[in-house]
Amino acid sequence: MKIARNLLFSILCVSMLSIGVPSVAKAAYPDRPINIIIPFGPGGAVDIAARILAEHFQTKYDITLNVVCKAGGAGAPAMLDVAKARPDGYTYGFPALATFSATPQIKKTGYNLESFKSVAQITNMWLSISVSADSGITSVKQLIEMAKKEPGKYNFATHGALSTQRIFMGNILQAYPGINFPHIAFTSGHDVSTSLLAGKHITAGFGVTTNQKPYVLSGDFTMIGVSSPERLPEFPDVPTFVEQFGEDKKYVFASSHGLIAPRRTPDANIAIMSNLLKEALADPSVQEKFTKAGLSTDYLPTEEFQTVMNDMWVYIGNSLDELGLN
Amino acid sequence: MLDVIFQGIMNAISFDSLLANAIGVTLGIIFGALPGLTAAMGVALLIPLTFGMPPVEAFSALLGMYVGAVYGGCITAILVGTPGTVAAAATMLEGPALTARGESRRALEMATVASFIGGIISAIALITVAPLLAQAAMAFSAPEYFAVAVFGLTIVASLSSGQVLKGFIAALTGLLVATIGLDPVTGDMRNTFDNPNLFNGLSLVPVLVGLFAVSQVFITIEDVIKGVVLKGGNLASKGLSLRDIYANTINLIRSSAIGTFIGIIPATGVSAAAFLAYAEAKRYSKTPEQYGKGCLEGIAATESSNNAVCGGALIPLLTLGVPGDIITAIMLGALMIQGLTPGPLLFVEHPATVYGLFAAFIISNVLMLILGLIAVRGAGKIIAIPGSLLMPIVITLCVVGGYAINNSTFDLLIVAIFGTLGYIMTKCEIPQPPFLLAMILAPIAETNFRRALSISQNDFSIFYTSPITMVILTVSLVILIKPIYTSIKGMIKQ
Repeated sequence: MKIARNLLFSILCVSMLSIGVPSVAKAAYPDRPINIIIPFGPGGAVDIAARILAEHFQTKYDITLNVVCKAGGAGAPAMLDVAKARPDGYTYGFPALATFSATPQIKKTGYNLESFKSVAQITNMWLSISVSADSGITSVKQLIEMAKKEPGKYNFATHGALSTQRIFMGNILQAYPGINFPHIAFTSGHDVSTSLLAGKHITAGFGVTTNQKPYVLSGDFTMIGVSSPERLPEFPDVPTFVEQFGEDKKYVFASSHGLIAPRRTPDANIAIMSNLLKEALADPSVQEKFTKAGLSTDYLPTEEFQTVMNDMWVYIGNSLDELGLN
Repeated sequence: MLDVIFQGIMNAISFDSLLANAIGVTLGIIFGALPGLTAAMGVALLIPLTFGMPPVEAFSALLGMYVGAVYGGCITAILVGTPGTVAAAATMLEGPALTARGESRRALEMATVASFIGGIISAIALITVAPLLAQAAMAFSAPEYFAVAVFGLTIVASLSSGQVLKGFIAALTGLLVATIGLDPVTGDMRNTFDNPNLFNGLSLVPVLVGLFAVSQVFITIEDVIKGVVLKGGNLASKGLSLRDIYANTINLIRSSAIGTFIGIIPATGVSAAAFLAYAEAKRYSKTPEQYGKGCLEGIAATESSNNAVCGGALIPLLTLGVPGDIITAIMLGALMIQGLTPGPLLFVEHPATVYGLFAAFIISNVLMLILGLIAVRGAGKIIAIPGSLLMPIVITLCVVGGYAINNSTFDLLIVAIFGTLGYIMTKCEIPQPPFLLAMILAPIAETNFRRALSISQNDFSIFYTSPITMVILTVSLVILIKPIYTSIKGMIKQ
């Protein structure tokens, strides 16, 4: 009786221990769910993009993508989780590169550009500045000239104290030393649009085209500048910043979003993931869903996306230096 | 016109829409009741599933989830003293006391009926006067928001019931804690000690769970150590009577109106509405001394107002395309995915869909009433579980909830710290609600105060040149001065 019990006990112990042992015959990557950590709350553009991809990966490749939302802290807690994760290709981050580059260059966060490597770019957003349609303002240049004549009367609002848009406007305003064109910080892009709609205190809202599009279509806003290199097909009447301020790399800005991995992740796994993303983003059903959510599909392979990451890091770093924000 | 309205209603009561709605409400009640799972999370999880659905069906599911989740928070708040959602924080002021008296069923049924009435009154506002109200709400900007937040903070006096000094200690601590994180205007870090987890300040849910639920568990542990025998509560047989509802008619209407209005003003929030309604109910009550000791009126006020916020928040969303809170912001995305651009044109271009949404919202509230009344029958049995089993369950819920909100182990530390703080506060008889209220309202007050000043280039006249700001700030001042005036008058008489 006692032997039987001991035997049972040891079998139980062994079986419990073996749960933790990885199966010897290693199946092809990926053979278990993959975590995608996003530094945003549920329901935002990136969250929707991640969930569209997760749905596609599940039905098409039978791969489970867990979308983990970790909002707040200017993206730092989420990116720190990615940086510290086991580099086995089962944890990725899906940040907005601009914020990703800004936070560690302003504050100690425990990670930097070298903590990660690129996987693939997924989507791009363009920055855009809009004014109330009643204002009669038609270009950013006109707005800045008006601000020069009446200092402090006009202002521009962005979604936060350290927003990319504020940094970008800082770059433009460098050509106008001593100008009094105050920045008003809000907490989200939607808050900016709400205030601009009320039309009492805010002259211009600086956000992304995706957020401002509905109000431009409804005729409430006039969009007076976009950060794309050429005019966008969906807004053929909106002048670019390059048109208004001259041919210069610093007047073009694509807010790039894509997948990044911890630095020591095996290249083979990254290549597999990058190819799967390429296929998924070329799929018409995924493209249709992205379009419906107001997003574009802008796949870039690993090396090219790494270049985008490096360039963004330098651009943001330089801008922060020049503006004295860091 | 009538055939369009009829078509919209038919869309909303089709079998698919009703099923989507019922699933939404059921999931919503579960999401709401479990701490850490929020209405916003639930709605966001449903969005990819609604891609392929026709608009009215998609929104039946989403609105059901919204209504269900805002309501569901009260179940855990009343039964186990753990708020399921931030929306139910104010319900904590009365719910657990009623449960301790063995009136949990009466409290839960009141909460359900009040939620239904709040939802329906806000739906009526949404259908009849939406564009008008939305225009009025747009008159609100930074200085007006600041005034509303200050008005909200005057409730501290009312929440402290008799212990004004201790109430202020709690509120000021709450204000201090709210300063943690990124400075909203300059982007400087405040009180973060270079810890990235503090960059965005403390999340409300872990603090809430710690302060109210974990502290209760600690007190129970203390009782056990002292040798008090834990017993299960008595199963409440006494339900809600029609007389209870009748006695609260004016209270319910007033609270629903407050909720609807707060819902319309973007970025004020559902918990602020519940606290405001609670304070007003107490101010007008014939028996204000009963508040805080288990008073049905309080539950009627908080639950009707927080569900009224749902309909209120839909008003600026549909008429102007302006989302009032995080959930309606997600819904704005859902509308765009359906190819519907919210705004005045929506009513002209897609009238059938709009009336379908209205009908779906009313159906969500009806389903919430039915499913809610069934759910509380079952859930009410929770209190029969003996404390020695219930408390471990509560602490598990707290830990899961504290973690789930941001998938952050750091937040578990916050739960533990604020659990300890809540325990100390209870022992020192310092009321916790003022702390919570200050933490909710401080960011609204601060950012809007400083935003107003950066708009006006540091000219303080912006706070007294707008009539709305002027009126709200004056009323707040009167509320603050009145008790001082009364006590001075009393002293002179002596």
